[in-house]
Amino acid sequence: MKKRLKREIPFHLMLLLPMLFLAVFSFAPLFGILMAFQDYMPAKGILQSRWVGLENFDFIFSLPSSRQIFANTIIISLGKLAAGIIVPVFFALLLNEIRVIAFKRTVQTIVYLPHFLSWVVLANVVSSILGFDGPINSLIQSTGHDPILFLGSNVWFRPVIILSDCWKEFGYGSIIYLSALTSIDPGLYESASLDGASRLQKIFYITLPMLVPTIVLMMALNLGNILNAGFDQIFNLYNPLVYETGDIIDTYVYRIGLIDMQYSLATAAGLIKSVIGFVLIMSSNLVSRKLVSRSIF
Amino acid sequence: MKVLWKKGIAAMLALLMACGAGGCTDSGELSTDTTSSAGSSAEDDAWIAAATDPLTPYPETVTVTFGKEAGRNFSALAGTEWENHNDDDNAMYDIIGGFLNIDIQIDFVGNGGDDYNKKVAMAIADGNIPDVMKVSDYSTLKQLVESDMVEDLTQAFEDCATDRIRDIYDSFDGRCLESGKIDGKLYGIPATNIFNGQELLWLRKDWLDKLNLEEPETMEDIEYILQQFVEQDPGNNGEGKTIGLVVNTGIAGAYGAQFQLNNIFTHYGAAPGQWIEKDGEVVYGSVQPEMKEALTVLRDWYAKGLIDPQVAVRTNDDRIAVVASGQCGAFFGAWWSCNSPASDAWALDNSVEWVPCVVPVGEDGKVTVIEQNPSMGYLVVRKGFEHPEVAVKLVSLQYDYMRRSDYVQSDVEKAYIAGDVACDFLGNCDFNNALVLCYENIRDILDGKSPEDATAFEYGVAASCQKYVDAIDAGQLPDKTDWSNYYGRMIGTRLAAEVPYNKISPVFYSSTDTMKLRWGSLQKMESEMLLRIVMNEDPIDSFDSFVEEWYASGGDTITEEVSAEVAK
Amino acid sequence: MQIEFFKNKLMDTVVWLIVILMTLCCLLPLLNTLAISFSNNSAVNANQVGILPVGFTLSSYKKLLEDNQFWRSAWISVLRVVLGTGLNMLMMILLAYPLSKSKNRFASRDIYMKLVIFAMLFNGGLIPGYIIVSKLHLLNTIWALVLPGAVPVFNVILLMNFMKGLPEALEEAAVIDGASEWTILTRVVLPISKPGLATVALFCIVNHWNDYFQGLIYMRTPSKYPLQTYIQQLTIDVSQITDPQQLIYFMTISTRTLNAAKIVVATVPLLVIYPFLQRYFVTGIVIGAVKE
Repeated sequence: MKKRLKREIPFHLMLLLPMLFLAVFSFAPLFGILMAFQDYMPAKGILQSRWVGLENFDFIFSLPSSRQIFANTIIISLGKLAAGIIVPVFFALLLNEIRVIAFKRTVQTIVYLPHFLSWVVLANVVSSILGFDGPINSLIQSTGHDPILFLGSNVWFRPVIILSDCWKEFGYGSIIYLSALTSIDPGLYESASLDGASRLQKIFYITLPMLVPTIVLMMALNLGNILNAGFDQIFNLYNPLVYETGDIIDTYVYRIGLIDMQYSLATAAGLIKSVIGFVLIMSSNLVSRKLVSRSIF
Repeated sequence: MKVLWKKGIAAMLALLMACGAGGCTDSGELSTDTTSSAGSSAEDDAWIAAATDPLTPYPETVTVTFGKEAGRNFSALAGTEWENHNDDDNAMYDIIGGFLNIDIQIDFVGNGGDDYNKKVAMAIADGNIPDVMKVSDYSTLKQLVESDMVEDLTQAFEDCATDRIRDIYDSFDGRCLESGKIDGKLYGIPATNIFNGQELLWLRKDWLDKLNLEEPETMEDIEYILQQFVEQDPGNNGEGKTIGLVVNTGIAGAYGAQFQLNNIFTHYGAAPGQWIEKDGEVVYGSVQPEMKEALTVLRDWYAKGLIDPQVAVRTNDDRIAVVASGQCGAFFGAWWSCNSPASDAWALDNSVEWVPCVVPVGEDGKVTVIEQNPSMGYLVVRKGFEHPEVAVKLVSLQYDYMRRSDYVQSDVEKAYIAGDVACDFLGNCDFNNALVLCYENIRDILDGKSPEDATAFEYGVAASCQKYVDAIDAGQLPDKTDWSNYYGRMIGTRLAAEVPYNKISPVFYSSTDTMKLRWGSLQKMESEMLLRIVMNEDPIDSFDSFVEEWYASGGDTITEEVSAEVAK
Repeated sequence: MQIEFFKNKLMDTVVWLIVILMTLCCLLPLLNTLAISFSNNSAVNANQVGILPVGFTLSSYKKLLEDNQFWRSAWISVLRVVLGTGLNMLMMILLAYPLSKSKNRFASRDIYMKLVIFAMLFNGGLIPGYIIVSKLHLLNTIWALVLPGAVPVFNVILLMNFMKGLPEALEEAAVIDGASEWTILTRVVLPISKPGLATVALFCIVNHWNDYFQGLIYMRTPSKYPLQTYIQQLTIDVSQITDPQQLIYFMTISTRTLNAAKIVVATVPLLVIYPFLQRYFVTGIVIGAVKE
């Protein structure tokens, strides 16, 4: 027993430094959560500010715009979740049908690429493409229609956000499905061929079912992230015209906290998000453990 | 006051000599009186003098930390020996600091707008603000005062504002300086927003001439001209390609933006986007029935094809491009619209001529102008900072002393002015009618006089205007900058000086608690309403349902809050 | 049989077409930006530029060379990537290795794991984080961009899962030989964890290079902004500017080509390292993302 404990000392030593960092930069700021229950006055600090109980939360829930913001967050991230599974799976299936290795490699290199570029950069690209004088509007105008200001329209903003996210991530998202595809037993296809199955039939009756566990797993994992609708992306693409459909919890917290200086409200809204997120992640982890006996932790 | 002022100069000269920075002579008799009062030691006296006089330097170097909005145009210094200058470190800090014997340390700098406001918010949340910083609106000032984080500057202003600085604030009839006060105490030194002149209708003079049209005066005249532009196509754009009037997506209500139709709304007695007093009550202009009259006319214009059919989707760049390319020959904009897009159009085609018109005039022959928020931010001083007067001293130095025509500029300052490089702490502090004063001085300089209070800047612009006149006289093509300066100052701002106008003075420019949360969506509702009615997508009577909805969605509470604030 | 053959050919064609189309979707917008950066301003303003430059010119890049701030910001970003990734790697290894042990080998493992997960899910928000950084006097220094994110928890879990998947036999052999945990880590585990390490390294590099938000928050003057923050600030919304002087200034400049050049230059470093790490990250992600 003693020997075992001694054997563990190096582990503790290894963990010391990283834990110290976590303590300072992750755990210490948690005291800030107290602001959510206060009328925080910067000059007084957290210790001296007036305690208001759950007033901030009441206020947030009473605002009509907060319902809108939660709705926006969930709609946008559900959209992203759906698109983020359908398109990569579809793409992986297609790529799996291609037998020319060099071509496949090139395609993979290109489609993974946007994942690694920042939204700061891509927002520039997206807005110039969708801009009034961008290629898409030129196309629309050449068919005799009036151009559309995509990023300023409450009809178009959410689709644009979902599709542009999908555009950025689909290649990268397909990695995991491609690898799942390679692990499918080739014998299955051979016997299906002997039974006279067509290629489409093989895709529908062998490949797709074999991908289901991976799809379920990815879905379960992403469910936990449903309140993260993508701050970087929206922050760099939105404008006051589309707050109604595009404002999400994170951008709202940023604005009331840092622009309107309602520190307590911002912290309260952030806390609500953290708590819901925590519950969601824990339950989705549980679901995936039960369903496909895998988990992230 | 005069004595204090002299004392300041004297002490400053003394300092300059001590530093070996200036070859000043004639200072002997004045510099003695700062050191001769009885009672306490000379050193204390020096500190007191510094604390109570606009320009007297501190006896020892005082370090002052600043939060400041990013200056503009440092890139204009590229290629000079000062190309490494930026907001953290530049020659102006040394020069300004040298005058007052302060060491200017930059705590934070942010780009104007969200970036800067966010840095201020962080610093406030941290409870750790710099000694002096600018805050961009009244609600931040109020929060700082409520949190007891800033110094009362009432006494400092009494002591350290020069006569000219006082005159500047007086030129706003108290509206400006008052806005920096809370409970009668001055907590923020306001940055002034000078009167930008009337909104002008810029018309293509060459088109008017070609079609034998007179410059307009009334609404009917404008309508006729727009119709002629669109139908006769004087610019040879091709049939149906000429746009009548290019209009901002927001239609009206904002200040200082181009392509707005404020003049047309005020013509009908409306005040879009403003809090005004009407029959003794505070009301929001955009929900008043007068709006409907103006909207009726505008939707008629739109239906007749006189307003840009793509008004809803154009960005500002697009609008500028439409005018610059000669597709459109009419737009509303302040005097500086001569820079862009007017001069762009001229640069692309030198036969283009512009004429700015003050229209549409009402029965009294005048247009009505909405006065803008006189303050665009405040300089505040951290509570507990030992030398709170330094903020006022800086204002006196930068916006009075250093702007005088007898102030001798060093080479680097000249380079800064030539490149329009700005590094102010306050933003601006100038007379409400600075534009008119500036015009008068430039006019006088061009007439060969040398007006007493003309600034170095004015002499520079006058020289540029002179170059334009010389070029025209010699039958040569003027330089684009000279063209812009002449059109802007001698033609555009002349109208502000010479054409009388009526004023609407809004009573409230700030924000209330409910506004913080609801104003965004109300504004959106409003701009949508304006756009949809003008574009004939909704009937004119939908204005009434907008008004109801506006009040129901928080407008009523906000109106009450604003009335209460105004009543204070 | 004939029909089957045609059906196959048809399907192949369709598959190829769609794949090529989707690939082009990823490529064309980036090529457009590249083309804009090499085109002349008026052609860009007239929207004539597609995927090939119109009126080829290097003037944007020449102008870029003169922009001190761009290069200052680029240097800050490079420094941040080097320091930040270095520290991240150290922290991730030190954290992931003990956590990859089973409960039998390391009794307190679960407690640590719970702390780590807690840190991933909860945070005090922007302002408390800022206050800590401020109190430690890190504001406006490169360390403000490096230290707060020193432990990238999500990547730690990835690396931990990767290490769990390593064959145990090797380690057991080392234990029997009497090697210390430090020796096992450095001599046995790290050398065979290359794909996992390369993957998390790539993620850290990309994170540090692409992050603009910390720069925006923790850097107190624009002259210290890292590159992405600098670029983010380029697209200034004219409607936010309150100072009329500034407004006039922004109205008179057109910078689309210059901005495109900045984006291109800011993207190149990632394009350079990306192919080297690409062969690793596929394996790394697949093994690391989930555990059985």
